[in-house]
Amino acid sequence: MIGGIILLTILFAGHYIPVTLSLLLLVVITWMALLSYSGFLATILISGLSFLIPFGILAYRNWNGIGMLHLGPAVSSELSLELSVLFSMIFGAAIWVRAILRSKKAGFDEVVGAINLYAWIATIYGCLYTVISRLNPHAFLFHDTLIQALSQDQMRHNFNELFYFSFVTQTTVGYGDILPISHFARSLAVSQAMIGQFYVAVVLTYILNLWISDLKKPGTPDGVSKD
Amino acid sequence: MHPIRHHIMKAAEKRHVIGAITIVGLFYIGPYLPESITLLAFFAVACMAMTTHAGSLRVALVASLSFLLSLLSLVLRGWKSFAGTPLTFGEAVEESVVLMVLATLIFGTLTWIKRLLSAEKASMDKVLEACNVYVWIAGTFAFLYTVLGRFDPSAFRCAQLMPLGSALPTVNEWRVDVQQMLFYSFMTQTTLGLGDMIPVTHMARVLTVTQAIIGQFYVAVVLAYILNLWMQDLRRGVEKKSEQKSDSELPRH
Repeated sequence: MIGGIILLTILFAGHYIPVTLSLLLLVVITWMALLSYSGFLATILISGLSFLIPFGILAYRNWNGIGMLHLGPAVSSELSLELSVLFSMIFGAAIWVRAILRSKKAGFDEVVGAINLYAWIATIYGCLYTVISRLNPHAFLFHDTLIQALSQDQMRHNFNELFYFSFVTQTTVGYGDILPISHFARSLAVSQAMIGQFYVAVVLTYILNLWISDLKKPGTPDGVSKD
Repeated sequence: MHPIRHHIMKAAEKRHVIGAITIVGLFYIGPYLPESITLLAFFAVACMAMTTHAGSLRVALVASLSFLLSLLSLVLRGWKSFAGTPLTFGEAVEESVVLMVLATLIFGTLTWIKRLLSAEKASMDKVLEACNVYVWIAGTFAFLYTVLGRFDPSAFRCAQLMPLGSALPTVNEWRVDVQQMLFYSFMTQTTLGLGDMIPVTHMARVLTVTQAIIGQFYVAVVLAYILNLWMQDLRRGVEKKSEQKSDSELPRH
């Protein structure tokens, strides 16, 4: 519940706070979720390793990214932080989905949790897009009218833009103001749209069915036993 | 019971249908009406729904408070709009009416959804009601977008109406504006996303994304919930027809 609220707050206020702060907030809520589903040690291990390994690699390569783009220590620590968020969130989401699909009963709280997980998946893809866009600057194309507000270079490195793109893709809205260009970015966007549809169809329906049959049980016991 | 009273009761039962038809009708014929009628129709629908769910006192309270507060703040700012352009008295009243309709719509939607989700049994009527709330949410968001567009004229970019750096839409343009936003709102909520209007500022984007998520989850959660209840009722009705009859018959006479 709290995680979902923080996530939505980042979505609303992320524009006005520095990117590093919102990334750190993401790490915190990821930890919260991970701690409730798996052990403390695994959490620290995953997020620490996924921060240190890219950071180390980048330091070893003299702060040069893939494709010999010079990044500098500040940008590369940001990139490592994004990767850390990405991996711990992927790990968290995997555990979470497993826990949801295994649960035998559900209340209204679980439904809220499922909606939360939806935002969670969108955030994962937002991180993924940011990392891709950092590694390959031509992965995403921004609409002309948007570039008038922000320079193309600023847009590309903006976590918030791609976060927005991620949500637009996952809800299958697809305005087309930000377009995936490179092959990898395209296949990711398509897979996210598919996940967005199937999540609502499969996971939500599963939980809702559990919830409704739970609701029916105390009042009318004969209402459920048929199915 | 008196026949006229009976008709009124029947009309009251059909209120969701009437409300939805009004909103959708405004969507269709809105451009050909003066904007004051559009606003008043919206307000009437909002009040109708709220009185049935929350009581008339709270409706009057919310509506008058939001109207007076926005008018007062406009007076205090020396008849300047929130975007900084000077307004005449009529325009100021009209702007406060927009804010009032928005507040009423939001309040109405919240009470309505709360009641909808606490329902124990459902019928065809409830399903219609749920569909109506969907339209209703779209109307609320349309007003939200309109207000946002007035606070910040560059919030939405659209080819003909609001090119970059254009002035705040005047009152005459506003009618077109709310129609555009109604269209935009439906387009977002059904996750169509044709892309002829795009959100540009951060706030507009956030609201858009929120609405798209609501649009998806509303169909998945609320509609599925209501339909499930309805179908369970139907199944039980087939099994025990006689018992069900005495339950569902409304005591009208």
